[in-house]
Amino acid sequence: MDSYEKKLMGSVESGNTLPDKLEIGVLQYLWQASPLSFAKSDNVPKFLSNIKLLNTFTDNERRIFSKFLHIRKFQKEDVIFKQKDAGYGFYLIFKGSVDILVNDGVKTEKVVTLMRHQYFGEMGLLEDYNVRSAAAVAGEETTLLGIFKPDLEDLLNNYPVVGAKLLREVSIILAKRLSTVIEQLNLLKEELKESKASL
Amino acid sequence: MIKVGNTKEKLRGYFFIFIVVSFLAFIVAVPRLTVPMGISYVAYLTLNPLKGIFRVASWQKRILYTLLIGVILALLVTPIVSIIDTITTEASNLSSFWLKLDTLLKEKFLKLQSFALDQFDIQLDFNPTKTLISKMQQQGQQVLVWLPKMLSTTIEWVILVPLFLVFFFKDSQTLKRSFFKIVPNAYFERVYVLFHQFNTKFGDYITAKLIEASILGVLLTFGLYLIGYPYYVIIGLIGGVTSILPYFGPVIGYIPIVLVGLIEVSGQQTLLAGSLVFLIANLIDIVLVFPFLVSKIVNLNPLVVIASVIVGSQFGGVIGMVVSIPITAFFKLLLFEVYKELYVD
Repeated sequence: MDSYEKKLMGSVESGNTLPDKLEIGVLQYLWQASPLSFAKSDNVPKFLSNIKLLNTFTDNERRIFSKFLHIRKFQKEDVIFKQKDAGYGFYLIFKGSVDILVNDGVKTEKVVTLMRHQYFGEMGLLEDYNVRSAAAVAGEETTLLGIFKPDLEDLLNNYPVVGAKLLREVSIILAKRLSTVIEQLNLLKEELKESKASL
Repeated sequence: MIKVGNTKEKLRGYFFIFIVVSFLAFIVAVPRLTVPMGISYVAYLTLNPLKGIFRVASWQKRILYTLLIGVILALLVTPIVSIIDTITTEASNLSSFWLKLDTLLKEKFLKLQSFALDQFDIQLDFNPTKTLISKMQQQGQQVLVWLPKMLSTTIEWVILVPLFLVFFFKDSQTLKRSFFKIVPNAYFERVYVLFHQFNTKFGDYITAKLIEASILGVLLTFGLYLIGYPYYVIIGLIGGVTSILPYFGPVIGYIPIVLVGLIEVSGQQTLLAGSLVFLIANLIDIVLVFPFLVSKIVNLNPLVVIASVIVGSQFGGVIGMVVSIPITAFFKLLLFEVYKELYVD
């Protein structure tokens, strides 16, 4: 998909007339996302342009993506989702921090604390019946930007290029995670072999 | 360690329940506004998928789709326009049909009267024709009383339904987002997904039923036309429209065939042929159309379907019967979610 600017330039070059109205919403988004803007740094356009996951997106694609995001606010220690909950959403941390907790049946342990610009819950976006493997709890006053399964369907139906790009990026994260797990599994296998041999 | 909800979150929960209950109360309290709104919403759900197709397409494809829709509409409208004369003739012939029904009833009643007198020595002294005519007169008087109200309602709907439809197309996303802002965090994901599933199921079901009814109506009309059955257009239309109602629809749709067959058709063979056409059209629907179009959308037990149609008819008449199935399918989803939450580890 071409960027908004490219689209307009294409119209000019091919001799087509430009739209009668300027799309203020689009211009506002592009201005806020621009590094030259004097807007306060805490806005969604600037935030999205700093997300690694969306590196391959053009500004216009990020603008379209932002229309499908839900802003959710949490107080400190508020539960975002519980372990074994059905998962439908993927979250980007806009403000604050999120603790990822795992309960092994005996005790609850904090696995990691995720900070601004990080994300979690991507499996919920892909699997048909996803069960959350860990709980997510707000570490402080936190604002999240969430996208959910129905939004992804709408995105794919209405803006397939943006939807496909999002799916590709999420798939890359999962592929990386899978190779790490396989690596760790192989290490454990070797350790097991060694310990068996030593016995 | 994990704290479930703070005071603010609890307050949000109460406020959300208050809004939902108020909205339901509003639906019940102002049907004059909420019924056309509901019809517009169903139309919006049915037409909404087209929006995505148009948005994705290039301008060349958009022109092509517009032309295609134009051709389909022309193909649909042309036979309707051409059969208007047939419908008018059939409708005007219906007055003679009632006279024939009257004669038939008199004839049959006289036979029954003499049979009862000869065999059982019982004198049947009521007149079925008189009873029928007086009942029809009563109904006619009631229609006259209701007519101005019906007319004003129709005019209201003609204005309100397109107005609401435009509103839903333009602002439904904003409205949806505003509503979901007040959903408490603890329920947000589930409520959001269930709402979306309900909309999808509802829209898909209504679209599938409309397609199914059109196919059945065309098959029935064409089949009856081929065997030269009287009133084939009206019977085909009734057959198509009534097929929207599950299980009860085909039974209601068959009544006109029997009535016309008994009164208008000279030989029993034509009635049999008409019944056969009805059976074949319904078999095609059951074997080929229904499994591919409708059954995948609402995976419900037949007994549940019958029960929900009865409950739907009690609360919402014919509209209640039609919408009862997707609403039941949604409740099944909802119950499954609650069951998972409460009973599955």
